[in-house]
Amino acid sequence: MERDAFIARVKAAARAARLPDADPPGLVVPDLPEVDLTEAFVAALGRVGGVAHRDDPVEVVLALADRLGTSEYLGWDDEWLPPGVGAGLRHGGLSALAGDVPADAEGRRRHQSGYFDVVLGVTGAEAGFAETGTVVIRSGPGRPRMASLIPEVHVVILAEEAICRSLAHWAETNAGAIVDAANVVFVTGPSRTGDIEMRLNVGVHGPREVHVVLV
Amino acid sequence: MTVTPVTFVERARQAVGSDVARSNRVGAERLAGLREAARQAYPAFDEMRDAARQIRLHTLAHLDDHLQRFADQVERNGGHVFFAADGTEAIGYIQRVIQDRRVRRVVKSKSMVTEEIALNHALEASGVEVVETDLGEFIIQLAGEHPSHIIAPAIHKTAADVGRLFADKLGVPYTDDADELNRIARAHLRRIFLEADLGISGVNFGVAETGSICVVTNEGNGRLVTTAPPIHVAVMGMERVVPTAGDLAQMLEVLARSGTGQGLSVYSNIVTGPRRVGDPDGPDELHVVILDNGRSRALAAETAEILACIRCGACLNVCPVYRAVGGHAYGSVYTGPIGAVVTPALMGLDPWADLPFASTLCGACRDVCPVGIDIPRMLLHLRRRAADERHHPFRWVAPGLRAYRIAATGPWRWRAFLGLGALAARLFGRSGRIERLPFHASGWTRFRSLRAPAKKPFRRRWGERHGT
Ligand code: SF4
Repeated sequence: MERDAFIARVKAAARAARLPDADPPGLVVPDLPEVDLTEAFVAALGRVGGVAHRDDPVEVVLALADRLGTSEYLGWDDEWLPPGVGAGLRHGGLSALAGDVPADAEGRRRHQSGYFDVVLGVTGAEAGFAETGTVVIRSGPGRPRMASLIPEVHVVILAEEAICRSLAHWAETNAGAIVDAANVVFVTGPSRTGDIEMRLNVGVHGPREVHVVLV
Repeated sequence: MTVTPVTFVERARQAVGSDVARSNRVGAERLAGLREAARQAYPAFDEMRDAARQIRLHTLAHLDDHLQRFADQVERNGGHVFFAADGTEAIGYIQRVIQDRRVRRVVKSKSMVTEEIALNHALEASGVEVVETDLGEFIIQLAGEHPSHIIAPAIHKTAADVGRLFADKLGVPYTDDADELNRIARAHLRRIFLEADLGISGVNFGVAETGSICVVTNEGNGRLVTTAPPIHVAVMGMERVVPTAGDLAQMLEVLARSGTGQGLSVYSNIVTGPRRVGDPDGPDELHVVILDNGRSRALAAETAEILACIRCGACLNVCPVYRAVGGHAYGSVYTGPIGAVVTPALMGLDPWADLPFASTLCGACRDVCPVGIDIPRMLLHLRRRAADERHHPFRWVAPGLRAYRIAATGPWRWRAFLGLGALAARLFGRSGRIERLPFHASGWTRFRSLRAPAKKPFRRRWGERHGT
């Protein structure tokens, strides 16, 4: 249908609709009980099946790589991780997989087939929500979306001072920032499903484990 | 949409007491419990709900403006927008994209709206392979069935059912271990994702101000579908917009809490245009298909408010009728209380006139709805329309009520009517109980007996005592 005709039809319907036409209230930032943000975040993350760490991120990642028996990771470029993390991982024997997917369809397919066996992903995050144990991950140059999506184990490095009370609190000042990237995702724990007999199961598509390293 | 050639009552009769309905009920009760726990654990929940309702109603009242803005922004971000008046137009557009780009394999994440227009069926008929990737939908697709719950589509299947299905269709050894079944699905679908030519998702919310779309999933397939293939097609019911990014945050605050009792779903994935210069990955092309398909009709009628629905599924989980009969009895992709309104509102009362009657009007759905939709009021409205327009099978309602009105509006007519009742009571209720009524009234006594009316009517006793 032509756009104008479509919109005209919607307009006629909306004018005919008997709806209470209240003004939009804008975002309501609720008054939540005062908590220690870091502690609350760690507790909430635990409730959704994630694991919090307070150790050196390089050590955390290397220990996980050791357990997984892998020597490579898909991750953000060094400049997007805290200083020294990328170098530390290489020094510990891990190599970073190239995250740049070619623009042509065939090249894309070939490159992405290589992701089939990737088990370890390392990214940063720009915020955390204490209420829900959520991290905010923004894609962009040097920050592939796949790094937080494809591997079985996802390590997120999050600055403690970036933890806010809740999504609403964060959105109050940062909502506009959502548009600043082709992809922003709020991740709350490991991938989960209850589709077989409502029993909780993790890792059906996304990561089976989410580790948040607080720095 | 498949129209099953039986009525709600017939489908419900088949379903009640079946294993399918039983697992359905267990699942629904669990989800309802989780929602209640989430509400109590989050002191601001009611406040957030009111705000969410305001946002949705305001959006609908100005839907044309918000849609214009949304479409402009999507295009500014480098995406394509197509306005589809109905399912046929939407399918036609997607088929053109598929042909132009020589697409062979399509991956999909769960989306009610594509079910509504039977997109898979149409694409498969034109020779494209379409793979549903939500675990529940994947199971349903393998089994060749329809989803029975909008949040948990395979809620009616046991692990053993799934094990047999996987063994049969995927050629893996039988297991009924849920972990193992998940692993099988992950490995199977992973390869398909990474090599697919095109991804189709639904849209939970479109943000007018930014042209962003938000796709919410727990499994992560919504992210894979919108990340791995070179082309992403998002199909959005036209009512799904919210004005600003702040409003999106507000809606996300109530969506998962109402649906599954989670604070937030695992992935709230916000996509703003195709991949940008310098972005390492993501689709190179983005198409947003905005669908009317009966929505402007619903908007112009008394059912307008139903378009505020955010498809959280909370009303299904508390509905005594849904719990007893399960999703399939509704015969449509939209089930439960929301389905009983939305299906006839979008698609007309013919042949859906019996759905608004599939409710006890207890009001539980209205109480849990995160956007406060007064479902019972709309059910009553649709019932009246069904009776006015004499839709089968409720043709008798209007004449029946007319007969009652005639009887009840004249003293002697009323007395005669009651006299008839007393006579009937004497005929059928000799033992003080009415065990069986004949003909059309037999439904009242099929599963229970009724207490017979008193031998001496109240009016007579009153008259004797007060001498009138
Ligand atoms: S009607 Fe309300 S409770 Fe039911 S699915 Fe829609 S938003 Fe949820």
